[in-house]
Amino acid sequence: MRYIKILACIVIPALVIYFLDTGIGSLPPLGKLMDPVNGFMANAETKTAFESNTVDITDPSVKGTIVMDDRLVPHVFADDERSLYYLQGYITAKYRLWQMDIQTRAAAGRLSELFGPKFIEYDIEQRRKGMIFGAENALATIKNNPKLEACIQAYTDGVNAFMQINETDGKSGLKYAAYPIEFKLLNYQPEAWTPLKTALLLKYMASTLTGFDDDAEMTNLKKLLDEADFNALYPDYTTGIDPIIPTEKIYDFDAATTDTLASTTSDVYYKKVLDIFEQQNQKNQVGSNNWAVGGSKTKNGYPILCNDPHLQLNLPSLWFEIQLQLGEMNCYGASLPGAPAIVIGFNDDIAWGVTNAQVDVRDWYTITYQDETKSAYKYGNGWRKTNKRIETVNVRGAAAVIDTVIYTHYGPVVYENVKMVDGVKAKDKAAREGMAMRWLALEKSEEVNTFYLLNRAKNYDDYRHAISYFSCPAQNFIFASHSGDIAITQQGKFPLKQKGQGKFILDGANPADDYQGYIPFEHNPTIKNPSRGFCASANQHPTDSTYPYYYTSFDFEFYRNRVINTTLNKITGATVTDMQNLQQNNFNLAASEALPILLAKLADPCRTDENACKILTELKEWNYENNAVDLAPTYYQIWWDTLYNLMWDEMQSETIAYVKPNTYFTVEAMRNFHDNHPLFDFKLTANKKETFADLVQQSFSSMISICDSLVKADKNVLQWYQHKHTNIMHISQIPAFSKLMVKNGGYRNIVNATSETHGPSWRMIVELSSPVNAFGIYPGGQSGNPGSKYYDNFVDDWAAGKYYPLYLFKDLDAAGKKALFTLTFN
Amino acid sequence: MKTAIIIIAGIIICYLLQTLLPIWWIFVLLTLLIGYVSKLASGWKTFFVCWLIVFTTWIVLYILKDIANDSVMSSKMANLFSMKSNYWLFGIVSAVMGILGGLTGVAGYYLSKKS
Repeated sequence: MRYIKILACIVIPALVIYFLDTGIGSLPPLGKLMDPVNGFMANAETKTAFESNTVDITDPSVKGTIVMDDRLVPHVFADDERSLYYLQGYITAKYRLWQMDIQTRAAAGRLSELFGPKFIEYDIEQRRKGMIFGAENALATIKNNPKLEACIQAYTDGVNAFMQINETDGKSGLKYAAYPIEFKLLNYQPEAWTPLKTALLLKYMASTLTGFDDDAEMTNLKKLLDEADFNALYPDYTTGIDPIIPTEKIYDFDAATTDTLASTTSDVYYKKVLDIFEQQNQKNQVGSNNWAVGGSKTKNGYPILCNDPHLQLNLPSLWFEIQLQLGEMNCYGASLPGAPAIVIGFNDDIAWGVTNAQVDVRDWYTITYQDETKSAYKYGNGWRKTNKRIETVNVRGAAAVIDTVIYTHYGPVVYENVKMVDGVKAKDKAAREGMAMRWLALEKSEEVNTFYLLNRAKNYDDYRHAISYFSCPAQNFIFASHSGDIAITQQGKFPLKQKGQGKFILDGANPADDYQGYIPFEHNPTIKNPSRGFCASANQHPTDSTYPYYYTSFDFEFYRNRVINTTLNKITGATVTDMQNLQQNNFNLAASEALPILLAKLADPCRTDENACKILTELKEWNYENNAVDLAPTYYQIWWDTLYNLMWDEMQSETIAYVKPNTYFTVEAMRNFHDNHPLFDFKLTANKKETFADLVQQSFSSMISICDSLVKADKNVLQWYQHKHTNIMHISQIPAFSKLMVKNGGYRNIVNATSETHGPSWRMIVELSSPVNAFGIYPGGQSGNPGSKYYDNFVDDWAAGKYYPLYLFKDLDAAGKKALFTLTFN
Repeated sequence: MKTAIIIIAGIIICYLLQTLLPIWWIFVLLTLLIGYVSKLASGWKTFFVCWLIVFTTWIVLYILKDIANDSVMSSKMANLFSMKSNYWLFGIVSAVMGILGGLTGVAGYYLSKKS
């Protein structure tokens, strides 16, 4: 009996300890995680983390000082260029190591090796999109620029110095206790940083901003709709828009032309209905605002530049504030953890910011292979050879997956064996077809150089030179200088296209459908010091119809830009406070144009339904402001969403990819389509013909019912911020590390573009006075550690519309007065 | 008196082992040995002493670090593990680890009896 007891008392704890030390399934090793010394409590930041010290690094050539201010913003003062970017890499890794690691693994399609087979599909998709291929291309270009290569290498070395990477085996010398908590929870180890990872991060951003298109959807829609409806609902251009480049601009250059006529607008486009693409009914929510007001319209006579990029809101935040000072270069702004230099910011002389161009830079080509070996594909009257790239996806707990990706001169064949639902289904033919992607992000480029040079820019000419290196993702670069210039340029590498080319699937065998060249940099839309006294962009059309080049978009914006331009046209004596108010403007222009149409069609419910009457009255009295605690925005949004889905039920399909018309053209259809237009008829009710008025009535009734049921659960749930439900999720979607239901207003199509998941990820306002008067905030915190009070300490202030002063210290002494602590490298 | 000394010495050694070695050494080097050499009156008493050593070390370490951190980390971890509060998390984890210590202590106790 005693032996049994001994055995039990040893075997049971041994088994438990084994599992606690190694983890079970997806569970982390709980023993190590819960260890109060080295486990999660080692990430519980205490005041010892904020003590000044001299940092021990192996590279004696690195010299400089980092002053951490009271918001944990590093102010880097370096003795030379290598030290500057080394210290940027070091300090970024110190606070954002896991974020840097996971974002670049996600970019490269390497999540399966951490999380197992459920990520294989995602990883394969990333590989097939050519993310690593594109990053390698970018790196090859950077290698031709020794200064830039040295900058990225210094940043890499700084990151690795923080991780104490052993140069022999590439393993991190960080002890388990020093790992960011996510490594402990997800049970894996940091790995060495490389320049390729920086390139991958930038490709990840390119994918976020340009990695989508409507080509397949448009191809399918062209088949679904008659020509008049298609042109009304999905036009490239429409009257009444307010483009980025004001109409005063005269395009007096000789536009480059192509000799061949692409086959896109005639019958030759790829006609077969495709079901290979994911549904894109959930529209991309990426967007941004930027504007620069000239000194003639500001109170102090200095230009004011503002920027708020609307990206997915996450913790840790996408951005990391930093000041970089080296000799005459003194720059402050938002950097991307994983890349050197500052992306959006200012120095003593200039300020700059970006919004997404939204111009389509991704096209699809059908590929017909010569035979099953897929070694050649048809092009014109002959055959072109393919390249094959073997992608190995390592999988945790399972065998690696090998994928052979075929590369054509267009780019990678993302989809093989295209399935056709109404075309020829012969098996051998299907096996010989593929869909190749031509995406500007995969071509050679050196975007980092733009930021490297902008950080040092002193005037308009420097700005123009810096942005000339920027290819993809195309951006609207706004600019203002202390000397009084303001400007905006839509910068990117844009293919020269025939009208309609790239809106639909293209024929890869037809050389006429191929790119015929690129728009020269000088011809990209740009304007300096316009007569209206300001430059602005909000993802709308870049130009009016006099611009001589064809472009199309996956999603131009139609509302924020008009609110911004209307406000700035009227404004005089503008102050920083005025700019803050404009960035947080909650006016719902879309609702102000749509709701009167709906109200005019609605039968008065007041005789029969008291509750409906009350809601209707509230809507009629609504000032169209989407403020956080108001109810009317919720009523309107539920009504609109219901009506929108009823209206475009024809484009709702489980098997065929369509995209519904955007809000602007939906409102246009409400205005201009006849009440009995066939598209208003609800296709499920075969025996009944619905009119637009019927849809309005039905959607209103649905809205009343939805609101009734919601209120029964919680009487406050109809407040706009509760209905909108903005969550700032941890990158790995751990709710405990997230900020849920942030209390603020705004929405899509509103200047304050805070939606469920996206919003102003960095608000910056810079008055180009001397010294520069700058303010900014982002919804997060400087530390990526959930155990730090600096993890999410900006979120509540951001939601409340507050800003922090941004300190561009002249020197170390000035910085020292605001220092929380100092790190010295010598 | 002897028991109190064992507990205090055990806590100190547990703390040192905790900071220097992976956690399973606590059970191999400490509780097993305590059970083996302490010659406490019974298996139950050995279990309780060893449980108390591990439980006390862990919960004190948790609480000291937590106070210095204003519960920023622990409140999130408690939420992650669906615990009512961070102190529930500390208590449950420390108690479970204490049980492991107790069991290995009892193993040591019976091993000493055998010898």
